[in-house]
Amino acid sequence: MLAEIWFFVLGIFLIMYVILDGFDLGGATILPFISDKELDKKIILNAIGRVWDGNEVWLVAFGAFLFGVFPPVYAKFFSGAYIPVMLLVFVLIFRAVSFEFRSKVDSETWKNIFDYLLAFSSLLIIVVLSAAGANVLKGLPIGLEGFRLSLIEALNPFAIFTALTITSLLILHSLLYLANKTEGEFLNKIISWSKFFWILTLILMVIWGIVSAVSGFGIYSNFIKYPILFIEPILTTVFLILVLVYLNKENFKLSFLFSSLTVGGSILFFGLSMFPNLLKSSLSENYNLTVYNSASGELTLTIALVVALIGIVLVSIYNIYVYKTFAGKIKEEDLHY
Amino acid sequence: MDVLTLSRWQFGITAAFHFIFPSFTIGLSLFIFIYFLLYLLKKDEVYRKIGNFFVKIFAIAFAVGVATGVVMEFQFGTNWSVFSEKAGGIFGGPLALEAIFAFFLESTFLAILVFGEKKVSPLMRTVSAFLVMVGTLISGFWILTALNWMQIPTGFRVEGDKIILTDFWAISFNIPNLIRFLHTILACFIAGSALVLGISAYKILRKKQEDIFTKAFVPAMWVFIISSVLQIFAGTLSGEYVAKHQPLKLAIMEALWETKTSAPEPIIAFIDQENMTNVVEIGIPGLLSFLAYRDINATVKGMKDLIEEYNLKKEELPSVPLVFWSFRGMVGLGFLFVLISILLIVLYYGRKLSQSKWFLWLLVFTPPLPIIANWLGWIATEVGRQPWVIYGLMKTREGVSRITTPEIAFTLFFFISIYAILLILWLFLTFREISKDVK
Repeated sequence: MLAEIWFFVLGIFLIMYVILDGFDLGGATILPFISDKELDKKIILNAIGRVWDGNEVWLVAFGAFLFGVFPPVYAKFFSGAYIPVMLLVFVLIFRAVSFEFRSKVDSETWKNIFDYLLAFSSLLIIVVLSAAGANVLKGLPIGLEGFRLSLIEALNPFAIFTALTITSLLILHSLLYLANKTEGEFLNKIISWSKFFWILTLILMVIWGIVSAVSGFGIYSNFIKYPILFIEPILTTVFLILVLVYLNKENFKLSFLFSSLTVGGSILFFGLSMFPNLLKSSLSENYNLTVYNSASGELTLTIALVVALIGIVLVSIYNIYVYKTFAGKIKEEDLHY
Repeated sequence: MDVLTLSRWQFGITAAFHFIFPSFTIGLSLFIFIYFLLYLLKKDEVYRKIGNFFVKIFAIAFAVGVATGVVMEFQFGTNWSVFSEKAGGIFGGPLALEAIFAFFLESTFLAILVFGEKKVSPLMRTVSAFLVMVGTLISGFWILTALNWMQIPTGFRVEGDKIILTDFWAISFNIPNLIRFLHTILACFIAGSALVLGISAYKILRKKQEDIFTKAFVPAMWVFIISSVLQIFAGTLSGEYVAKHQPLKLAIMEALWETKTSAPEPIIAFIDQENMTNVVEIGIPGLLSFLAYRDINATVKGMKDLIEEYNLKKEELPSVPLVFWSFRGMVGLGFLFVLISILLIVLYYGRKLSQSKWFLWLLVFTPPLPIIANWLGWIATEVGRQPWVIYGLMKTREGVSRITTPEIAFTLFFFISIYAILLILWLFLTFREISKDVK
């Protein structure tokens, strides 16, 4: 029971992470490409720079709770996919320092270097994490001793296509966040980019749905068992359509709300497909790591649950405070970076 | 080299590099809070400006600290997966507590400090500085709880190949852990105050905004003095708990091969680990017995008896000279900080500080010393725990992942390259911020 609850609590952490860090990862990815003007770039950097760090903590918290609550999953996945995980670690380093370093250098050349470093590392974070998700969804070659996954194996066609889809979705998501933060000419550019990425996302998501259904990875087995669950992907699609509806009405707040729900819905889909497995074995069901066979002792689960619930309440308070403080369009005089 | 050796090097290098940044930021967060508080209390604009000046230096160090800290969390899984799988139910807990109670607090309110000057009231900014400081302390507490549990495992039972948590309070709020926390936090306060003193001394020497930096100097001076003096007691207490819970580690730190009553405290020893003896040893009679058990006649067990007791081979012992000399280096630096504290008091009350150029220059070069002391203390404590990863329970070589040598050689090479670049960038940007005027 507790172990099952933990599956969903971890799901909340992951959903919060992808929704929140999603828009700053997407925003950093398009940074060098969307505008040549230093002012526009500064607006993007300021819009995401004040919140990215707190957003990334959701990933760190997800990792730490996974470690404590389902140790075999954390241990087998991180060591099994050693090189892909280390690649993620390296890009996380580059990204974390690029924000701060970019704000402290003066020359155009250095600023450009850090812009590209930020964009490249943010894109790679999206790609590596999406590919990780895709491989988990598809099943890993887990045997008695765990599994080994090289970078080449990790970047299989299904993983790359998933990464492409998620990248497009998160860029759309970040554009809608930026629409809330910008004005004038730059806003118009963001709106037209949003429309392009909306169409791209819709196409990719539809193809992804078909590919995953015919892939034979058993991604829909829970859905076939409980057809009511099909409501979830349908709702997620409806949310994506509402994104465009409100974008056309220039109601960027609701549009961003629905892109958040689309992102959240995509992660929830992943969770519904996996349950009760945390890692699926492509070799034999016997090697699946489930919430039942990999959970820590009851005391750990109980304490961690109390801690997580108190923590989520506290973090929500901080987040409301910080987003309220920095609400509204970014004016030139607010710029820090 | 094999996977175990390379994994230990990778962990050691990445941890040592990471440790630089929290050492400074835990200390600096205290000063940022003090300066903003003084601004509120004294309504003196200068303190606000000093606070803002140090926020910038803090933010750069914090960014590198976050980047290199995430690496640490991932590495338990990537390189020490057998350890992680077995002990995760206990070890993962403090890491989760750290993430949820410290990292969110620090990152949220640091954003208010850096970006919020025009958006929030001075009171709220001081509160934010306070919360950032509390966040760094909470972070320190939980990570030390995890590390302390590996030194003195408590509150668990072993079930098959799993270590199960049975008592959460026993692993977190036990006396040795609280003392270790105090010892480490004081070390960070010494590092932070040394940094503020060094920067202020430099500005005073260069006659740049001397009046402002004299104001910045005073709180840092007091924190440095108080922390250095308290550290002697915290350090001694830490040692007593090593004696009580980790007799083998104590014997390694003191290069004590034979069990002795009224054991001397060696100041210098030429250690012949191969033959399990010290060729030359100069020590203070009875002092080790006194420090360990508060009794100059107490018996202190030597390594020879202890490895038999623990059923170890002599080859399993870590490098005794490394632990012995690291420990002495740390203690020596600790006494140097007390000496600097005495000079600070004498010169400050003699009103001779600003004329004593030699002393101000000494302060300029002080900031790296606490970091070296922290490294040495950490080497003594972690290498001294070998051959175990969890003292008495699990050996380090049993905890390593089933990865291949080329994989780890590749990542180790990358870490060294990236960290070298980070170090240069961090130093360059920090020096640039220091060279700017307070505005």
